[in-house]
Amino acid sequence: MASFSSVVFQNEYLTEGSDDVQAVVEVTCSDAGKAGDQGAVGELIIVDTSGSMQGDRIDAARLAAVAALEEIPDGTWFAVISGTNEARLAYGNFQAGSSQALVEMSPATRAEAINAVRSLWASGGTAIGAWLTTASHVFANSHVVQRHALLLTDGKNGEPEGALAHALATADGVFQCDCRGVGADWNVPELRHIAETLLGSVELIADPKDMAEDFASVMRAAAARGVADAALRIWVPVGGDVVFVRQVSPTVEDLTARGVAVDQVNRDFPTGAWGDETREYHVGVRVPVQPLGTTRAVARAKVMVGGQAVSDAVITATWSDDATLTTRIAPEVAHYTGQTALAAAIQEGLAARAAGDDASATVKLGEAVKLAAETGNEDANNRLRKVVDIEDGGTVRLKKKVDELDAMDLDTSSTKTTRVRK
Amino acid sequence: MSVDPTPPDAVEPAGAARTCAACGATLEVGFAFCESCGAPTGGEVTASGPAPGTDGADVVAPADADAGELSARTTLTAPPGDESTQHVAPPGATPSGSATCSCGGRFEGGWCDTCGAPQPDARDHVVVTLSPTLGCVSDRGVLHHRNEDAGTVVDLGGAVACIVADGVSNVEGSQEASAAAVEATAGVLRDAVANAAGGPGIVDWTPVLRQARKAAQIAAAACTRPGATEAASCTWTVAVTDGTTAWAAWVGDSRLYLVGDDSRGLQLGTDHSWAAEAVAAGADPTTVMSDHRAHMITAWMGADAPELPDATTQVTVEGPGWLLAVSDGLWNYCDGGDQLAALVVRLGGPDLEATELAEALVGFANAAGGADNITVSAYRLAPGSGSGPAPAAAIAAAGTVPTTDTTPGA
Repeated sequence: MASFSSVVFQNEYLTEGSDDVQAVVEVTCSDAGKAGDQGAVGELIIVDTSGSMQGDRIDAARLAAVAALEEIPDGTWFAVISGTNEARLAYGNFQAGSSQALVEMSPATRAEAINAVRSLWASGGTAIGAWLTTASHVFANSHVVQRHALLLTDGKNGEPEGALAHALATADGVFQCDCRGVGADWNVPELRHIAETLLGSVELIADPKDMAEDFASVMRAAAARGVADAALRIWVPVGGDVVFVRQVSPTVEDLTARGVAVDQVNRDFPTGAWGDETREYHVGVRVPVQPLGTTRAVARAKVMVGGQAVSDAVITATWSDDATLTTRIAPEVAHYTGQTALAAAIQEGLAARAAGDDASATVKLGEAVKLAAETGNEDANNRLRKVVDIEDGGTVRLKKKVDELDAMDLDTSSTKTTRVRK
Repeated sequence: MSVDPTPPDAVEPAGAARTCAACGATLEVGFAFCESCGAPTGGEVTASGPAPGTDGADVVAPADADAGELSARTTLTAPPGDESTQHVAPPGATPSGSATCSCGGRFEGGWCDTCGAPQPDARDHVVVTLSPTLGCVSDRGVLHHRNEDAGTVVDLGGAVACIVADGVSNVEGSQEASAAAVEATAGVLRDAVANAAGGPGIVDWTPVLRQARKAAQIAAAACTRPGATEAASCTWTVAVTDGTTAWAAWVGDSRLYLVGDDSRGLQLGTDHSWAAEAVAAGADPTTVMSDHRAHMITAWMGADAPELPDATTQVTVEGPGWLLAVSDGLWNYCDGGDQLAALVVRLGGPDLEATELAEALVGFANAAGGADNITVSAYRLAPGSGSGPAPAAAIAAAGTVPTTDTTPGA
């Protein structure tokens, strides 16, 4: 039986008249069990088979799909989608059509599926929206309650503007999707947006040879998520407001706009499925001001599973005229504020660089270098150094020659945070 | 703390000022939400006094100790045949109080689900009224988040007892330790009376108090939480009087006082504290009390307590006046027997009922800052209640007599 626990990090003391409270809530899930504990599990493998995949990439994608199929536990309901200008069922229940495509995994169906993916061939365009829409239909028409997909692409979406947004709106809340980009021709912000919307991860696979191991590990992680779905419920008192809710560890994901009002004082933010893991959330609220000396609960963060609260973290505020108390800053709050700013500086800097605005790129990436050092994010620092030169005295210049894969790696990894050193 | 005398279930008198239950601000008539903090008014009359910390400097004695109960208080029905009323926390009380916040919200995990106010603890303000002449009030004060004091009064039939224990702040379990020590003490006193029934009665309470001290220490020591790094601990003080003689025992710095209506007063015994020991050794009292060690106690009850000092005293008493057992939350603001006696007179002590006086003294301490929990157990010594000398004379006698029976130190 999965159990959740939570810890709050904050400075609870506010100066007279203050209404701004921030806290970091660390949520840990343990004894999560395995996928399927809460109902049937569905798994889709979506492989880009557009013309650009020809050669090493389609070879690697075939091997990776086989590796993924080998990790999917028996009893899981699955299918393989081959994506071009449209979504084609590469393996599944062909008789019933794509709306009832899932097949129960068994040694026999696994062997059939492996044969099917070995004969995948590349030709045509890239219509990611169409692939996602098909996946939505497959899941929505199935009986599975825990729904996960792995999407591989090597290119930018080729659909008319708006098609992808429409497909994402359909898919949002229907299934979770981990996204993988291979090579240097795909668009990092585009794939990141898909992954964030569908509560999944995004990774660059620079070398096709690494793809099989990555696919296998994605499937192992999915199979270890015994909690099919959970929401983070944020309570604020009457008269208060949620200013922001961000997941800040292990990656930065802004959930603020994802909140759904439950009632006057509660909003639910989606968190997807959970395995044995720890995530941290940075919560900012505006609260009704109270007189000096008053203590109030100003926010609560509950993890909701199946309509039940399985953990409850209380964020309090005490209004005080003691400056030694009110001027303290919780290290966790400071750390993740910095890490969020770091992610934004990297993304904005690389976007400016891609748009040819070297001046803005230099400023933003300079900020990023500083924030990476301040918050002790060594990985970000190392990746930044492949894109910029840092001269003595800290002046930052864009490198004249940058391997595009290094820039994409920096962009893709920008949301990964380090934990607070305790 | 002042107490609004309107009973909670009374119809609101026309024109009466309503206060916000959440922040204490005055509510405008007809407003659904408090203009000050935004808490819903719920259209209800709240008969509580202002929240701690918002008290004015005025000290208002309650007109009726039964009225104006804070919603925090737990009211227990008096046992059948008992004419007195009790407003005490159940033994080992944890945050309980009412299930509904004064804003109309419900408490969930200790906090209101609507306005976020903390759920009041039954220990925040505990009132025990056994008769017009015998009562106790224990209050959280202004600055502390919880009340770790405990106190009560006991009617022993022919004698009464005033008991106070002060849990050591910020140690988990100290709140339970003080309550357990008080409860154990009252139990030993009652048992002694029951065991003596049919006989000539108890003529010397000192051996009983020693027994009570042992029982209280065992009860307090049992309150240390498993795995705790610090032992739960508390002070302890008790006085029994039959109206003629007072027997007292104590451990730590909670105090017993005899105060006369003639504004003269006396502390029975000496604190077990660094300050008291320094003064006894000849240090200047003013310098001592400004030392950061002034409140360090040298004896206490709990699992880590050094051997308890056998500190007892016996004095002859005579009314009119009061026997008071108090925690340092009061005497911090009124040190010295004569000062306390004068304060009691100034508060109208000679004309008050016991619980009213205890409330007034708690109100005085809260108005002065309320830096600690405050507990006062009071018994009215009626004029001519004893055959001994007048209070002033009794006090003079107490100044010399008790030391012969007092054994400070282990």
